[in-house]
Amino acid sequence: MNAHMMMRYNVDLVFCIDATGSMKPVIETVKDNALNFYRDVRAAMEEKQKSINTMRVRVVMYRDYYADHENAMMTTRFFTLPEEERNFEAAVDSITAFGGGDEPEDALEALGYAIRSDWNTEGIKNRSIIVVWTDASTHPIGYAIDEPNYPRGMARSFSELTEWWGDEQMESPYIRNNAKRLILFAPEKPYWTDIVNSWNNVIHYPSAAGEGLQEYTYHEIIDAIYNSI
Amino acid sequence: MNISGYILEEDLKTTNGANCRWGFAVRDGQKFFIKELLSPVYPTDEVELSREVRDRKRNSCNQFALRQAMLYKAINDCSDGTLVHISEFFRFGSHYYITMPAIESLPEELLYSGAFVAEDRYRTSRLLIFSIGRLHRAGLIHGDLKMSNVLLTRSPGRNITARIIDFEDCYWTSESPKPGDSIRADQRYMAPETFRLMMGEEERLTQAIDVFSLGLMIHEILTGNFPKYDSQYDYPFEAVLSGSPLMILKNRLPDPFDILLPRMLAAEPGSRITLAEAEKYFPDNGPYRNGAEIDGKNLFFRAGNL
Repeated sequence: MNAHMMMRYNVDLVFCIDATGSMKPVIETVKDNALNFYRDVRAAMEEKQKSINTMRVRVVMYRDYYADHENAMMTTRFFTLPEEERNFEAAVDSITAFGGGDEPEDALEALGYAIRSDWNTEGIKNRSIIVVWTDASTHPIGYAIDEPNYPRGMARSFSELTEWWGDEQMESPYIRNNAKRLILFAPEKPYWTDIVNSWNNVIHYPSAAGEGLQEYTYHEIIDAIYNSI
Repeated sequence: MNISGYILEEDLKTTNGANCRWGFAVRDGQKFFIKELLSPVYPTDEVELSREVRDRKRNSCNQFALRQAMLYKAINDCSDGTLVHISEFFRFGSHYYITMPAIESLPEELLYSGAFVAEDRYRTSRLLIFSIGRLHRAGLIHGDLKMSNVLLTRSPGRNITARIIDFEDCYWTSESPKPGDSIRADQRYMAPETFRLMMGEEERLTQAIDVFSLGLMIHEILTGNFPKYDSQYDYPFEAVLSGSPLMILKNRLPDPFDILLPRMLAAEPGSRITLAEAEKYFPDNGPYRNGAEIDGKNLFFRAGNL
């Protein structure tokens, strides 16, 4: 077999999970969804007679730099599935909802981390998919810039973060335009609506406080992923 | 929700849509299929963007809108009704939308059912050659031909017929993608040269990519399956590129498809038959067999050589 002439599909998923106190009623559902994603996407792909060669998953868990200090932003590396499924499950299982302070959270910084993930760029077809689960609005980016543990090198404005995401004309230095999808399970509040109204390849499922992902929405998201592959 | 006068029947969904959300809407009492494109996105005034980023994005969107409007006009102009008419292309707020008349289609499973009789299969295959041939004569490439982009329909008392949808990956022959570009074509129906181009090889994509995809579709329509190929390969183009033959079930193909399909599925694009040539294999290439039963206008073709 000439491996050079085989289609290789590499799918990277980054889950950005709001782990603040308000997410307590739904965090277990979100965790279940994250854990089932891999199996359900793969099953859907097989049903459509498409195959994934490599699938990796990373978690970015975020809260609020001012309120939660060193617990504000936690990330994992990419786990290759199914080989590192136990590590991925352990990481997701360890997430507990607490803190958060005021209503908005520092989700834009979480997106900054997600966009700058170490995406797989090998192979012919890659998909780089970010999924966000939250019930809250976001602070402006840099809101907590004077916090000691605020990251250096973070985008300094929403405009700069928008450039990090890129578009057809100006390719992002961090994530390939044709490969990327951002799936938001987030309320219609700042800056989620700004993202929906200015970033490409975004699919938004409006969420409400205290409500988890509906079964229907979950399947829509699985659909959105495998159809883009 | 009201999108520029189109009242949505339900929320837009992503099911089976890679680059869009879609649904059905009613305007002036008529039902439409409506599609919201995920890209590009026109930044609205409320978004907190620098002037430079906003202007750049808006300019890019305006160029896109101009090109798409010309493309959809060209498709509508060349359609005989079998290429589904694009009713409107417009921007509403930050997103672009396309609408077309809602079409009640038969279930996809029909393709594998005995209810889709041999005559229907022959007529549908033939119709696809002539319909895509019209697109090709207009200098266009569909770019994503696959069975899910063909709607099978039947009006009361009439034969099953087909309509082609989804022109978002359509382009003019002068706009061939560049080596290394990621192309959205479905890998199951992908032509070998499309993959070579994606691998970075110097390649110019031509209308022959549609011919290859159409060859696979017609094999599927007439026999219920793709041509067989070595099971170590996931997709037909991989087998072709590795020199492993596609086993076309010629003895199950009606005349002239037994002659056409090997030529449509040739490994090299230059060796593939063009659709203009393929049309000549049908002695009755007049209006009736080509879908006059659909809507009866602009269906006359100049008779080809016999």
